[in-house]
Amino acid sequence: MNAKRMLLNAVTICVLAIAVLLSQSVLSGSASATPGDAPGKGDNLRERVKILELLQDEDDKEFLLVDASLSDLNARVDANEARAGRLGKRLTETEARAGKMAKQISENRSGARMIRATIDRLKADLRANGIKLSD
Amino acid sequence: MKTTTIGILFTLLSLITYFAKPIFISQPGPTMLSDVGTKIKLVVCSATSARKSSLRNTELVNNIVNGLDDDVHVMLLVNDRAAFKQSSNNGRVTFVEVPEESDITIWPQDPFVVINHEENTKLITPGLFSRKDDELMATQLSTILGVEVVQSELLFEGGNIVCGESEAFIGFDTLYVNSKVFETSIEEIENRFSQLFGRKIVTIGDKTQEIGHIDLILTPLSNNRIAVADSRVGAEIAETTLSQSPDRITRFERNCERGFFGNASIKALIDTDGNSIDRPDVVGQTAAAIKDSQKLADSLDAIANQLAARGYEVIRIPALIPNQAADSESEAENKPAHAFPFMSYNNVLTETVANLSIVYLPQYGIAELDSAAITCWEQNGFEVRAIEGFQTSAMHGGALRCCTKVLLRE
Repeated sequence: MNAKRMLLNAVTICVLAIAVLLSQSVLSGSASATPGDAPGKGDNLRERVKILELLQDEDDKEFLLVDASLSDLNARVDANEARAGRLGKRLTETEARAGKMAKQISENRSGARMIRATIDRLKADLRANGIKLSD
Repeated sequence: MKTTTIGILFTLLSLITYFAKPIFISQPGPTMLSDVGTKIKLVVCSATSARKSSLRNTELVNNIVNGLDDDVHVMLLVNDRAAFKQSSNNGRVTFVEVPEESDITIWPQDPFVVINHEENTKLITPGLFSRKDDELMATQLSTILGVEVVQSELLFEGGNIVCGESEAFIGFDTLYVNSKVFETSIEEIENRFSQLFGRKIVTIGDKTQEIGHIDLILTPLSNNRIAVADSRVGAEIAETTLSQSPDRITRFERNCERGFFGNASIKALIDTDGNSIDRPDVVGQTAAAIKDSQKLADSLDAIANQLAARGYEVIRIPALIPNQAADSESEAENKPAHAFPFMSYNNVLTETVANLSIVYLPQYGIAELDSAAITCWEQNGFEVRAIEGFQTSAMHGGALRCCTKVLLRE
């Protein structure tokens, strides 16, 4: 009788043990499906974030980051535009001067042609009058 | 006697439970941080200054930081700390400096993947990551956050991997490249990724990708749902707007051009090699983007069908997607990948807080498309938190998820 009861107890305990193991197994499966759901003691990143949160003020609402180098760039763009404007003006003046020079060159060339023609005429007259000319 | 017997049995039971536990209970291995999940706690972004980069994103960083919940902490990677001034109440943002001589992009999504392992977080980097100096991002973060960086032999970019509740989705190109590099089958590469990320792997597509990163077109959601971009609907909406309000479209296009270098008066910049980077012509390009979107629609439908056949409930989100063919040429020439913004409403962040599903949604500036995307997400049970100002980053081919990597959820 005693042995029978002991056997019954043992069977009951074994069934309970298997039930416990199976339930643990099921719970473990769902935990691994969604990693990081429960904060763990050894979670390095969670600890770091907690520290970061402590450093964070409650009134941290609006964040504003400004790229100062973009402003510098604006200034550089403005300066370049002004320089381009100045260069453009100088280019126009130079073009006008170049035009004048071209006109002058053209006039000079025209004058030179006239002088050459006069010289040729004079040479022809002198030859006609029997005067020998060297080249 | 009885008490002694029960005591012995109890001790025996305890011993059995202790030693048999590993047989019944599998210890959770490393698992990739899901794109679906609880409240976002920590993210990383990067900010580039005007004197160091042609893609200046300071305003966008402001929009992202202020668009996320007040209690989200932001790690902000910078390689030119001196260029930035910030409001005094900036406790939400921690600057993470990378060496000044290095050159980083605004895309922290790509150079690593976040893995949770035994209550610790690890950053897994690919075997090789050659885009500028972005490989430094993971190591700099690890220094500040005290997390471990583990280099994998596999090659990947975070933007071509998205992770659902149980499965991770990887674009075909990543699997294909690895299979060629390691001279093995795609199935074997899937297994290796599965071991690395602790997730079953689903390869998206079965041929060379038309869109470089799947996070532009695919968003895993809870309850076995997944959102896939619909460029046919996006094209229809844009076409209607173009015919009914052409002036508004022209204004949008002009804004894209004027904002490209962060300053309307800048039309070209010289890069470090002395090459000219020209402001792209966007005015008049919407019509071409509509046609390109229509051409891509069948490929996106095929992806939606693939996922539906796998048992997912697929929802479709409008998108306007310009021509992707010129990407590689542009990258080689250090020019923007797209003259026209890639208007993706799938490149989002999602979270669930007290049974409320929230989506952080990028906005680009064509009101009809932006609103259609908002309505679409709302109809699928999401509270929408719209974040403005993504048109310039989208001209370089990325939006919110590309710019913002989640490191920790609650």
